[in-house]
Amino acid sequence: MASQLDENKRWKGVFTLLNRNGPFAQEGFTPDSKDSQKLKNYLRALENDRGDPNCKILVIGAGGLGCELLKDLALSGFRDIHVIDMDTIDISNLNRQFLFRKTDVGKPKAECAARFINSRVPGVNVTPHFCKIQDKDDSFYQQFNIVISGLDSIMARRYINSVLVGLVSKDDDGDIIPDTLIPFIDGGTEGFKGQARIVLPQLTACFECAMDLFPPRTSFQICTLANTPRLPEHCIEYARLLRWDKDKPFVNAKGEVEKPDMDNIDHLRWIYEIALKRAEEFDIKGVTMLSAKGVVKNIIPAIASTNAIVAALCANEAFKIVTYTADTLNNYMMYTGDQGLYTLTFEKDKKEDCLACSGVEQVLTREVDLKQTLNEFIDDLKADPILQFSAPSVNRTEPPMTIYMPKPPSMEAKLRPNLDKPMSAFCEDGTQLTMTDPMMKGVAVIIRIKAKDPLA
Amino acid sequence: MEDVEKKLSKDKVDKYDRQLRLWGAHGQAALENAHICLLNATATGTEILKNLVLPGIGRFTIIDGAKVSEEDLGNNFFVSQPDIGRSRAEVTSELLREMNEWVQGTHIAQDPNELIANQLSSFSQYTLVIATNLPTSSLLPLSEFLYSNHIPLVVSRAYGFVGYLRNVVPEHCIFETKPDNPLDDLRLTNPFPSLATYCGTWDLRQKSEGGNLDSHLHSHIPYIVILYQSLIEYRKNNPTFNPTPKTEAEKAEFIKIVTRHSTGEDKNFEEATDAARTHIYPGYRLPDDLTDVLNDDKASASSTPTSNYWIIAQAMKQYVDEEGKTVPVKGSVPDMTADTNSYVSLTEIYYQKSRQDIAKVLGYVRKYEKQANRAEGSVTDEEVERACKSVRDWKVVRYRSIKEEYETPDKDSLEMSVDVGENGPWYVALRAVDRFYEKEKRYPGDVEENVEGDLAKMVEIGKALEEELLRVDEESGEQKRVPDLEKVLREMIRVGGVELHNIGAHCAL
Repeated sequence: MASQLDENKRWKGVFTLLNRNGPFAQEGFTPDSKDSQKLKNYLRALENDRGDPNCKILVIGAGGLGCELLKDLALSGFRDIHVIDMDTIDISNLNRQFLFRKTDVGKPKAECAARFINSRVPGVNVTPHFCKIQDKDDSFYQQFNIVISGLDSIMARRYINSVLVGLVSKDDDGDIIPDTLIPFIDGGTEGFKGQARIVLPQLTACFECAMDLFPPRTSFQICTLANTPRLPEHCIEYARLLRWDKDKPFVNAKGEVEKPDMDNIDHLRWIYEIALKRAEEFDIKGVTMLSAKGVVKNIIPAIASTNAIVAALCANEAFKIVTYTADTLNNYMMYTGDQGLYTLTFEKDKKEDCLACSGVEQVLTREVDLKQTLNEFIDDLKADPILQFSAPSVNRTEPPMTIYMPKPPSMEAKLRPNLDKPMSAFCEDGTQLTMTDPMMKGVAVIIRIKAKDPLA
Repeated sequence: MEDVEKKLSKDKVDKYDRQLRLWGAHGQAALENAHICLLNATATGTEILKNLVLPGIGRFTIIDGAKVSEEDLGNNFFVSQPDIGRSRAEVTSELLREMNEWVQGTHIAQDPNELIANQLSSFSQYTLVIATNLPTSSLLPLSEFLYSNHIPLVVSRAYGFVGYLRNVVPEHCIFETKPDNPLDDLRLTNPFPSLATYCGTWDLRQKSEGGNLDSHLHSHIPYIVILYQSLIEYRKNNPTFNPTPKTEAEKAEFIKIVTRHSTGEDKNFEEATDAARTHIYPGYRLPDDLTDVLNDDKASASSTPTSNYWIIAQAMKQYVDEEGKTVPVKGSVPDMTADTNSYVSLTEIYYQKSRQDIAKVLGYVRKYEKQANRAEGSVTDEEVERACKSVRDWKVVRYRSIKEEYETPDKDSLEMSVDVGENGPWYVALRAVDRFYEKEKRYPGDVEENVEGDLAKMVEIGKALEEELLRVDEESGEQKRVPDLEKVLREMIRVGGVELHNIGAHCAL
């Protein structure tokens, strides 16, 4: 079927720009040479007798941004596209994730998205991967020429950023070996706002360079939840964080107490009812099912147009990177659409002491009260805006000692008692701890302990 | 968050959850009551419509005379290979409708240029019209018709790497602009009676100073109370100072009073010091955008209102004039360190005041409704309540028509845009393309043989446009020009009129 289409007619838009030079094309763009066919073969991933290389592009996420990205890339001429997503489809996705229908609820996003695009756009080959990004190893990521992410979490972006930064190799002169550098285009949206950035790992600012722009979410103080609630949110979180463990409302078939699952409608309803009762007790108005759901699931509003705008931007950048037909974004663009339309483009600087891309293991000094427990120390590092560890491993450098590891379970169980011991059990003023975190692949951070003077 | 669940079916609440949190049930109702017309089912046009179908626009009608071609398959998502040769209006409306079973969609397989020439009045049935790839000869008459009928028009196109979007709306009346950081409305510098009474009953002194609150309650006195009493004392002790602290010395004095009874570690007194910056020092005044609305001719007591918005504006203007230049209180209180009882009491006080204020405005609304010979209640209570709660976010935007844009160009904006290196040159380039098309009935550079010859024609058009759109430099006496105009014109020719999907998708509403 697809072979009956005249490629030159179909891709008239794309090929016109590949065939013709112009004043805004990138330096070195030479469409008049025989290499213009090489470029078309590359973009279209067409096998040919010249052995021209084929472009392979990876889309991370098949949600709001992902669906748009797959459409945009397919209609830009890309043919060999992979998409990875660990989620299944939920009814609330359907207001913007247009590759899915009501009958698809419960099915894997990556697979449904691939199926739809493959059937709508003749000749495109979208390969789905229904798994976590951590489930794939380096050799998987190395096969791609560009990676575009439409992820919904800071931590996931951090992870893929650290993988791509880690893939870059340098030669003996310290120069980056071009084939090992995979451009990383990252898009994000929230309500009427969005942003897109281009990362050339180890060459330009990476995602980690801007990590302190996303401080960890502050939660409510326990004393407020327990004693002086004022807002509906306080009542809702009281139900989820304080009453659940006390009342143990759901027990599964094995007799085990179920943890709160916010996608389980019965769990949600229980939390809502407890929250409502508490609100009534304190004369607080505003607890509804909708607000309860929003608070416990940390729901971020999302609409089709913002996703369309940001995805189109990212796909266009991918097109320009691959074809040289025009200059690329350098390197960060923000968009807001709630009060009129506003965009801002600027160049983000590479951070010299970036944890991921500085190329050097960073040593950070932190003041610690040696009487606090290891668990408290770890919690502080989780809240630290630059570190924001998720589940760190702690090792002492000198004398060497494995202090704590969250995985594997056997090690964790063995080392768990250390969490309650005071820091003085492992370190003194000047001790260096080497820490790694599963969300930052190949990155180790050295924390130099500075003992807090208890009298200060 | 209004009780969306009461107003919408469970199916809709589940599916539309993520968008309802942005625009609520009344926003959704506005969408569902709209009938949008799309002219030309191009890549850009269908992408814009997609972003309206997904959230649940009520109805759409696509008008397009073209047949699906192979070229469409390369940039338009809403056609498929078996559809080649069929009406593009019909195919795209099928594939768009298929995305949302609650949306009604029809098509008219006719060239929009014909319809504009022969049946212009048929456009009066639409709530809004989206026009893509319309030549100037059709755009002008369409725009004039819609403008005089108060129907918004959105013009969009994607031309190579350049995208274009133009709203043409005679009057866009907004109650809820939804600013990022909405200012809480605490009225501390001009407190209303019930607030003053409540705040006056507190003794801020610590127990050790003779006060009656234990340390827990003392450290949970709401900062509203602290600031209220501090301001009174500040004014009493300093009759020569500005009534609202303005100079550094006055602010310092005020903070001294605020923190006087703090133990030094109290969160609530800290919050009071911070809150002074937004609730004391600026004092009380109405936002400029709101003042513009209230001073508009259409808000005057004698004007005949053209919509519910203006009836409410008339009512609000009277309210403001009679209540001493204040607007209805918002009725909500930001979270702050406080014990539950005092927080709930304060919330209730602001809430009750807002109910009183809204009732007054409602009274005026009914008066102006009657004056305008409208049925009583045609402006609903709910609408008035919403407008009152967001009164400090009101704004009216007026856009010029295309005719005005072309006949009396905004030379200031264009010259500035060119001078600071922004998108001015692209505007001129796109106008040149439109002119070229009007003359030659094709796009510049459409085929290889035309590329060279078209450049000369485009340069000539460009020169004429510069003379129309830019002024003569006062000092040198020379016509202002667009630097590097030829560069952007060359890019227009390079493009040859092609539409890239991504640029079209980026022009999404």
